Amino acid sequence: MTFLPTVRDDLAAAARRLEARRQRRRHAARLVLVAGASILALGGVAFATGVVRWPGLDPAVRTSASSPPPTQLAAFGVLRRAQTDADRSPEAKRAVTTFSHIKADRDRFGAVRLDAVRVLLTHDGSTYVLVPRTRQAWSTANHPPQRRVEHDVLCLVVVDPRFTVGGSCATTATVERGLGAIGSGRTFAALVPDRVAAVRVDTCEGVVDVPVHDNFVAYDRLRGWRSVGRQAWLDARGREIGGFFPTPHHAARSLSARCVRRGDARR
Amino acid sequence: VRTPTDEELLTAAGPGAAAAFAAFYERWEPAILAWFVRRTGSAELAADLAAETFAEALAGRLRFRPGRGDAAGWLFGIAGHLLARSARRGAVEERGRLRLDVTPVVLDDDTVAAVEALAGDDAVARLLDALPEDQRDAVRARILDDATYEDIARRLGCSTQVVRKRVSRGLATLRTRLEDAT
Repeated sequence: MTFLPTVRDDLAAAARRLEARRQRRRHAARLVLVAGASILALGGVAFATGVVRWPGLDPAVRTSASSPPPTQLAAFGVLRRAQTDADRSPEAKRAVTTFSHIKADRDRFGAVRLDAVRVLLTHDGSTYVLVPRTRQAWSTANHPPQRRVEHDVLCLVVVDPRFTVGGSCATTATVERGLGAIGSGRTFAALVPDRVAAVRVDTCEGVVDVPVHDNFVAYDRLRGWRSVGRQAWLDARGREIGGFFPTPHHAARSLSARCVRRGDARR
Repeated sequence: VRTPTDEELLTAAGPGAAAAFAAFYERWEPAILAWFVRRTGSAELAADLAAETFAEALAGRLRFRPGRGDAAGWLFGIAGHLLARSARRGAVEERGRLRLDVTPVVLDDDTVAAVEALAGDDAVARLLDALPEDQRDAVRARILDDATYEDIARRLGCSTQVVRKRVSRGLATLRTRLEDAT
């Protein structure tokens, strides 16, 4: 006889998930081992351990000395390169203070993995910073506050010239699904995994291939190009291997409608 | 067919891990509930504490080392720490359940009565009393008083290996009798 069958069933389901995650981590750890060996063979630098608190960092920022999980290290080469002085710029210090001052935010977000912070791009006065965090909790209509927790999130934060910040966080799986993007007005900026070498952007003016650097891609979607539709991922050989959400098929249809509405002719 | 030990169920890996943990849960749920309800006097509190105990056990099962003690002792150790922490905070901890997405426990009247009966019936105490004296003393000291193996060995004037064996045998007997009783 079981007194609390729902507890038993929920725990059995959790055991299944934990076991699956353990298997995935083992697989990823093997990949990281291979990647780490390659880096060392090339005389490169593996991931640093042990947080040295940055001088002048806002004391409200909670930091973690833990390394990113093997799945992230395996999927994002930018995390495998050593942190540079540029990664600790004033803009980066501003970016890591995001979600640190409001109590609700502090409750929602875990600590910043300071050693894994990377400045991805400075463009047009704005700086895009990768801020890995230990967790993010969600509160939705179907879940009581703090019920859904995602661990090991990558936050993409943009710091504008006035030093105001904005951004969003995603797990490795979410980025893999093409959802690791933020839109800051006219600019589209997103994280992509290692296998993506460029993004093919379909616009009213034509098709443009935007190269990926440091697992990051950004482009103006309103200023330079009148509109952006399909955003397909290309591998190093130029083959399509996925894309940002919405799916390329739907994006292409909506772009056609927008171009026609604006009176643009696709070249 | 040989019945798997608690240690085998707790540390099972691969596709059978979920079923193994469910079996471990079913095996020890009555004893854990009885242990909590006798200390809190509330079926609801006992249910919350038991759910959190098993959630923490699942989350931390990879830290369990079979060579350093038996799984039931380890589980009751979690229960004891959890009860102490919850008493200090004035609320039942729920970190383990939140992390594993365990649905909050809601008891109907029949379940409340059944859980309370575990305490009123004092089944665990009676089963404990029915153990051979050396096993009963060792189990009582280890599980109920949360004493270390070293302390118990000193108190009983024997080696820690002997204490471990007595606790292990006593818990195995308790488990079998408790399963028969429920």
